[in-house]
Amino acid sequence: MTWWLLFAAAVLVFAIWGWRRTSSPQAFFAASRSVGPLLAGLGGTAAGLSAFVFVGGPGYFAAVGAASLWIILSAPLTGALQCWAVGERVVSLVRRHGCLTVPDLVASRFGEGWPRGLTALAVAVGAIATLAVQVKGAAIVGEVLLGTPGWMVAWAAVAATVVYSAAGGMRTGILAEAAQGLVMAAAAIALAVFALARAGGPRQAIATIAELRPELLDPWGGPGPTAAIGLFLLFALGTCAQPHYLQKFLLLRDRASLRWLPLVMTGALLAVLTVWVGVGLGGTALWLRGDLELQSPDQLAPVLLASAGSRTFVVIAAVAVVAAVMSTAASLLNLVSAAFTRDLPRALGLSPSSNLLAARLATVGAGIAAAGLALASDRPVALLGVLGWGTFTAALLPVMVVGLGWKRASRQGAIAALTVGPLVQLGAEWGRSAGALALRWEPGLLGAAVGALALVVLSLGHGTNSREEACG
Amino acid sequence: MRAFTPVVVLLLVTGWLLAVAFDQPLLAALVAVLCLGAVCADAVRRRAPARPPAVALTAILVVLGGFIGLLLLNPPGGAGGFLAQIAVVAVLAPVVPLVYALTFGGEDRGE
Repeated sequence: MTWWLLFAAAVLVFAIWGWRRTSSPQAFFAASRSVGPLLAGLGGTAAGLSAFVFVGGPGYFAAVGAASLWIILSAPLTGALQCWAVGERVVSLVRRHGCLTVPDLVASRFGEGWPRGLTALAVAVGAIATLAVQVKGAAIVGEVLLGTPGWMVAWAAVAATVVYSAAGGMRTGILAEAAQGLVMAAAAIALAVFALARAGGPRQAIATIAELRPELLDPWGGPGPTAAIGLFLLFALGTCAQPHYLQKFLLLRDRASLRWLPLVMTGALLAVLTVWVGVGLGGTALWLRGDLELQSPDQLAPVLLASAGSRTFVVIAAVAVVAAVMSTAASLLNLVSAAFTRDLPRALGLSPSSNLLAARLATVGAGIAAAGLALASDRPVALLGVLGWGTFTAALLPVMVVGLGWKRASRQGAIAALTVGPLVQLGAEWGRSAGALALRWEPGLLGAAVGALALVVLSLGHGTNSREEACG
Repeated sequence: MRAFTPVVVLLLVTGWLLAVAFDQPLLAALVAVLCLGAVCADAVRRRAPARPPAVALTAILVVLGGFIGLLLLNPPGGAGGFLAQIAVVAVLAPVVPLVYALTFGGEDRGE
């Protein structure tokens, strides 16, 4: 109880600090553009990783083995890829137009109305699905690890994040994310070492899996190489379309901050991803030997922690994992808040209020909606995560990579890409779950491919009619 | 000259759709590596001088493509494939962000 009270008091103090320093939309949505590469890199990595890595990742390894690693094989590339493909352009647009949100970027290139509105809608839908992953992850950790009702831990995590996010927006959000990123990295390495040590070391863990379930060491796995390469490409290119990643470019204080950003991002990313490989490998070996009992693969990490035997270690690990779950939520809450209070009204021709009350209330509403969705959904954590990631990729990849980079890209082409991409992705998701579409068709990538085709074909047909407007 | 033109986009998208439709992993791997190169190409082209980052990016993509191609053409048994996955991450992780930092220009040469 004392720990919970201390946690609540710390959140409250942090929120009051943020409230007093956040009085403008630029401070709330872009942290007053005061962020350097260290904070942006740590915060961006923490925002991009969370429940999916700590709970879904090792569980996914237990389910499909080394084939799951195609998701993280893109890790060495993604930091530089983001900067090369979109980051430099985003920083340039921010400098010219003062953009505060991802829909601002799209509107600055393709005009107001539909481009801004569709981007905001995609961001809102994908962000709520991704937020639901964080809530579900917190619920699983609470139930298995802390022995408390899952909904209680989930609501506590969401409430804490909502309090400091609503008070200080990204000014508090980026600080919390960076701190949580450090906690995640340290905890991930400790958990990986612990899991591998319990399994008798990496060699022993590999030998156990090779003996009992050798197919788990096959890098191509059940769905086959085409599906594995699709997963790799989805998570490599997809990083250029995740609004909570793109948002970090909007917070940077200058262009020079880009130089060391990939190094910070890659270092933090790899440190955290050790949990996927270490806990996945060690935990799976322990599970196959019968040392762990799981009801579903998602439970691998929490059950492994619960089996540690030391209460202090369990509590520290649980706090780290819940903090990891919360880290993504701050950015996503801010994105949903911006979509509903700034971008959708502007798309409809209304003037967004410069008063932050609406943005703060929208942050609270987004938290409640995501918690409700997560606790009512039966989808496993990993699948919810892929759904959110895929929606962002399908909707935003064509406009962010092709649209911003190609001068002849037209407004009609952008509108078509923003519409067709997510519709194809959702249709393909349904088709795969109904067994009508082979598993190698990755829905997010398929949506992005069709969206890119629509963008190019319509732009070639309509000629150049995109325009640049101030974001304000 | 721009690397990421409509023709390139159409070829890559068509190549990807064909690779998945006909379950052709080698074509999928080729398209995947070319896609990564294409999305980075414009930023690299704007560097002054452009040759060092272009050579470095090409080398990174060759290593990546070679790794995937080897796994496809000569699938290792036992833990070999898994260890190869870990090895390629260990090699590329420090190299790629350092290449970005060392070839970064304070101001680019514009669109």
